[in-house]
Amino acid sequence: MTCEKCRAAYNEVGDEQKQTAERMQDVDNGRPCPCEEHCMSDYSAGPVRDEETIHFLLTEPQALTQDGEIDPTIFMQMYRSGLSSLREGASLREYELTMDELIETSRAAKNEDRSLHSILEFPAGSVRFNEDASRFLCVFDTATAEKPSHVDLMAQPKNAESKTQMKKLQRKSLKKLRDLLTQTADLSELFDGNLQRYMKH
Amino acid sequence: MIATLDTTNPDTFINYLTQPLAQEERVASDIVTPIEYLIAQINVGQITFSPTCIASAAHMSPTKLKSSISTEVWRTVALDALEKFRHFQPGWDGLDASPPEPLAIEAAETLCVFLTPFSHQRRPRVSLDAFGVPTFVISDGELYLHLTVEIVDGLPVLAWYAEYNGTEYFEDNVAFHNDGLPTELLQLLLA
Repeated sequence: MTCEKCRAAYNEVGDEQKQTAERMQDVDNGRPCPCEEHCMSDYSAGPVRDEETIHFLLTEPQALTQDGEIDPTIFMQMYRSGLSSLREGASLREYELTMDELIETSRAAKNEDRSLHSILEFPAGSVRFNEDASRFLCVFDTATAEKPSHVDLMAQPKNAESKTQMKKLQRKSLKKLRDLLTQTADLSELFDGNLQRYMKH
Repeated sequence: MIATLDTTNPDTFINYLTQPLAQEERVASDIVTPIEYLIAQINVGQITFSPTCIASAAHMSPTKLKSSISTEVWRTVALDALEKFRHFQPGWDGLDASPPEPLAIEAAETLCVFLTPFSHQRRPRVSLDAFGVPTFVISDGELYLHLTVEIVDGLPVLAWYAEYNGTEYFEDNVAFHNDGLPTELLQLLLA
């Protein structure tokens, strides 16, 4: 198992019928999250440590239910190309780029305008393991030239007995992640409140 | 506009609000009931009467009237969202997000009609997941519901994962017809 294999799986080389999350699992015969030990690009700061703080940007109105709770639908990307997040040490520019990209994507799709609602804050280790120490999500170092602190959270597609069983596990996992991520960053403190300009006023 | 309003009987009033307007009374092709007219007026800031006035005239409590109006607002918002989703292209939310199947959007629209009468707490948020699946989510503190509409062999089917009072409920591949909600789903929404 090599860094090259991980990069190939991440960059969608090979079985294009599979989601990135599935290919990443296949790299080492189904061993959970083998590519966490490797970097997906030359720009990265190295594998993500359990104790590192991860930030996931929540935007509204897309991310919230009627009652202002997180809509778990937004986490479905963890079964495809991953949930884009930023790791500890990310620069203000990386947050700005992330928000700008989200806003642009919405506009291109003629979807509702996005604004920053909050930033979910959690240690990488808190989403990596289940209560029984089995793996929950993988936290991959997926740095890019513009966002060297970029990471992706990906689910481990389970070997379920049937598609129905798989669907149930997925839905349960979406709720579990939503229930896990309850802490938010203080936006008035982060970068001296600079990101608050992305919030709805 | 409300010239034919019966101000003495609340039931007649509600009936009036929800029945289609006569063609000559319509102000736009997409406004077909008085209540939609009211909402449209509110939305463009042109309303000339307050819900309190109407409620008073009809001997209906403002709460009941507000509830009626917000029901219609929910349905309008939900249908508007689905109409937007209908036109989403591949990559609409990240590089690999899938667009929805037109049939799934149509089935979701029908589902909206059946979900409209429920209380505020039980009216879900409508969204589209990364696989292009129309999704309805309720999370009201008591009920957690994740309901999806998919097309299997050309026909709409529902799947839902729910938690209520610490109990899990899961159904998959439940045929969805135009004659109402599946009983098990209805029971959850009424719980």
